[in-house]
Amino acid sequence: MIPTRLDLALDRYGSDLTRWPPDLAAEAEAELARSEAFRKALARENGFDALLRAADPARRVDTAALVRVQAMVMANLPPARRDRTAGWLGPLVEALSPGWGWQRSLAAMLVLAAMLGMAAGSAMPVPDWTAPSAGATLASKSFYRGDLQ
Amino acid sequence: MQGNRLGAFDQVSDDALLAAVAQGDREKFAMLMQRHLPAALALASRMSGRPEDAEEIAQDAFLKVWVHAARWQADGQARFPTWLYRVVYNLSIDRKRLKPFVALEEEDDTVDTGPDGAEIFERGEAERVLHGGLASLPDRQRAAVSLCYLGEASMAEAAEIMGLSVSAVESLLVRGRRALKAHFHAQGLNSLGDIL
Repeated sequence: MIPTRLDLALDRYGSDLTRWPPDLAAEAEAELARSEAFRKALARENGFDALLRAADPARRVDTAALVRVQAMVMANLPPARRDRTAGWLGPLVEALSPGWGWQRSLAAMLVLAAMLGMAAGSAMPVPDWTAPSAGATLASKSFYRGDLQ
Repeated sequence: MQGNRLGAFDQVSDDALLAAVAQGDREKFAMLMQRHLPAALALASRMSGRPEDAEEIAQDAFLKVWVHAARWQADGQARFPTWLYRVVYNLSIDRKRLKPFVALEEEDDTVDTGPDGAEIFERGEAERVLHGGLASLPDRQRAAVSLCYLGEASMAEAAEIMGLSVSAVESLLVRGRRALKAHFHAQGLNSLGDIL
């Protein structure tokens, strides 16, 4: 007869005792030493874990896939925020310099003011971008949290 | 020389790499991706069941990291892998609403007719049966199994990634494990010896 706590722990943590909470693992070690039934149960779970690992879809991930993904990501990186800012800011600052007509300078100042406003807005708290889309959130109700601690 | 370079790479923390990435450093971003892509792609493939989907999910996840790196707060408590897996998990759930998890039998049915064709076919059959078990699980049970049994996440990390309590993850693991056992037993599989 296997103690219920250990039976449940087998289902919860699997056959690898190093992944069990220390107190339960110690209890399991003691049970192993005295109980044939527990030894058999652990061996069964061990067999199941081996099956599970054989079923792991990640076994089909190979080096070629890693290289492919990395190349795709690097090829599709959008410009860094700093680069984007520099791209806009350069001509605007130039437009403010002496020698340009007052209309252009006024337009450049207005654009700069708008950009400062947007920058201030971006400093405000933002929603968690790691969260799922609204549909997924609705589908899973309260199972997602707002952000990481 | 090469050893020294690898050592230096290993010593750079994720937080330091992310700080550089936030400044638009592509080289550091490539280093960060090299370090974490294998695990991210593994989780995506466990969640989606479709290699091409898994690759797209991993790509999207790292593009999000690039775009949002400046929002990473290195407070010594949050770990970047947890943050990344949470993104992969949510992208997988989003994508699954469009394309359900695919068991292998719905994929390529080509049978190798070469000299080792029979052996490969038998192995493929076994893989189909095994893969069908994971495919049959509801999303969150599969995520818990993927993170804790097949991946290296602790219960607490899995809970953080999935936005659940630890006890909820434990409950998902128990239900997922029992469902998988029932699936395997129904196919006459009780241990790896049955398919080798």
